[in-house]
Amino acid sequence: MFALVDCNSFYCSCERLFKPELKNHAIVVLSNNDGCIISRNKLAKKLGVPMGAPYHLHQKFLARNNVAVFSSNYPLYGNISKRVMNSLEDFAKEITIYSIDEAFLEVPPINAKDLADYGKSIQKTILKNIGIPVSVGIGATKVLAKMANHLAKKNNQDIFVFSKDNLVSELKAFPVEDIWKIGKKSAPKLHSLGIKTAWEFKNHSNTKALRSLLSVNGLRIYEEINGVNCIDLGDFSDKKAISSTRSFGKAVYDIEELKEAISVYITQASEKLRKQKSLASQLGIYLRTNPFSNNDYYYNSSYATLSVATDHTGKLIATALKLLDEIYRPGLSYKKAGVFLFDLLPKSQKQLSLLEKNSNQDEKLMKAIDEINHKYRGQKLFYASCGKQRAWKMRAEIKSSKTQVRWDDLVEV
Amino acid sequence: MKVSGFPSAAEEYEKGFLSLEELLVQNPFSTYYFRLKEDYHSKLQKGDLLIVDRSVELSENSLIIIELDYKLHLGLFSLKHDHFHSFSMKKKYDLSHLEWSLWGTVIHIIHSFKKKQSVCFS
Repeated sequence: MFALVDCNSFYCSCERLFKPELKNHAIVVLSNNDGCIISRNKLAKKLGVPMGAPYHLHQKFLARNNVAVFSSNYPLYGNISKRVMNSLEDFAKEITIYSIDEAFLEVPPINAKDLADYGKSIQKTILKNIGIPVSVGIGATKVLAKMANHLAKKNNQDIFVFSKDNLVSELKAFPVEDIWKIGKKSAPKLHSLGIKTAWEFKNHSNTKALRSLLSVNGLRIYEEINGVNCIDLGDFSDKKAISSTRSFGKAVYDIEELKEAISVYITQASEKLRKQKSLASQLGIYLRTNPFSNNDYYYNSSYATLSVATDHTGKLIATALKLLDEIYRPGLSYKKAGVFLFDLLPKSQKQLSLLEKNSNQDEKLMKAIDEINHKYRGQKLFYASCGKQRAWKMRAEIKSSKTQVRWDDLVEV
Repeated sequence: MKVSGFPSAAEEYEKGFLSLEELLVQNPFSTYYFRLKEDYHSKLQKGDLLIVDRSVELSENSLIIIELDYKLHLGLFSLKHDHFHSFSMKKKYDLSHLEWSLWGTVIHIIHSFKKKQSVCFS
């Protein structure tokens, strides 16, 4: 048995937690750079605010309807997420964190009739101890737990448990395109076989036809709906490539400013690299202007193979800045840049080059920088090429305070 | 750090330093921090740090934070009389007739005698 615990409108709930004035208020949270609406609470959904919609198209509508709008405040959401995930560990031997606001729990052996109470106690505990509302879906496999969670939300309930009594009727009413990971690509294929509902999918006897139409993952979903556990989320945890890419807050013309941005992105990406104990053998960067402006659109990218795979911020910055010189064209107004680290290999497999000195000292330096930045929460120590002005930084104009993350930003009572 | 000469006789007994967090925070994942907005009385002064544990159950005469009238209130709660003495509003409320919810229970208050209230790294 699995339970999927999902925080309701997570980013909005985090904003609401410290703001009692937002009780009975519609709330939305915007993506990086205040681009799109990425979280809506119940009242905002009721108003018809669409998910993923560009903020600037709905700005007036939101203001007219008195909706509270926030830039995303990831330090706060990360803090609250950690509390939720750690508290969930009390409820299961094994938990798999699937995203910032969802986790799968392996339900301990309890009677089928007690499953709803188990879900209820999770929901009550997280709401009381952390202050975040969650919904819990319980089913025989991860896919069924995810579907149960979908049903809980749809029925406006905190908990939904698939049982012998409701499984048939619920699956018969469950559109096949709403099944987790089936998605827009596979749904038409299933429709072509006459499969419209989850029930029809589960009982489809022509497995040969399914096998020819669906990918390996699609077939796993079929197995899971039939109660066979075959999805292991652990396989996806370490990333094969790491990227750091973002739009600028304002148009950038100057190569010096671009150098700063690329250096900061490399710094962030190489921190992630070291955290998962990998080395990068290839590095890529790209630049582009605004595709919606009237001027000529320019996009370019460049790649380099590193002579020795590395996780050293300084070496990666040096290579990236060389690539930037290659693709930079003066006189253009740049809107976005990004860096990619790929061909990653585990650090344990590091091969030494004949030309490279054994870089024990570099290793110590990186470790020290990471430790200092971790201790003082943020990039206090960085390569000078990252600059101090960072005028190109993202817009986050309506960001709430870093409460619970910085002593200076605590809420007053 | 390099150590030379004779090893310390206390070496085997060293467990490091006492940690305030270990003493003050029993449930780190349900513990939040707040600051006092103003002087409420001699023992509750502006800038004091409140350590609030949401997992603590309501009990007689506890210092709590509640949500009431779209605001956070700090005050003393009497379970017996269902009364709440709000420090921020300087007023007593009969909670049995009001829509309110508990935010959390204050488990410690830290008062600093240093002039500047907090450490700032940036």
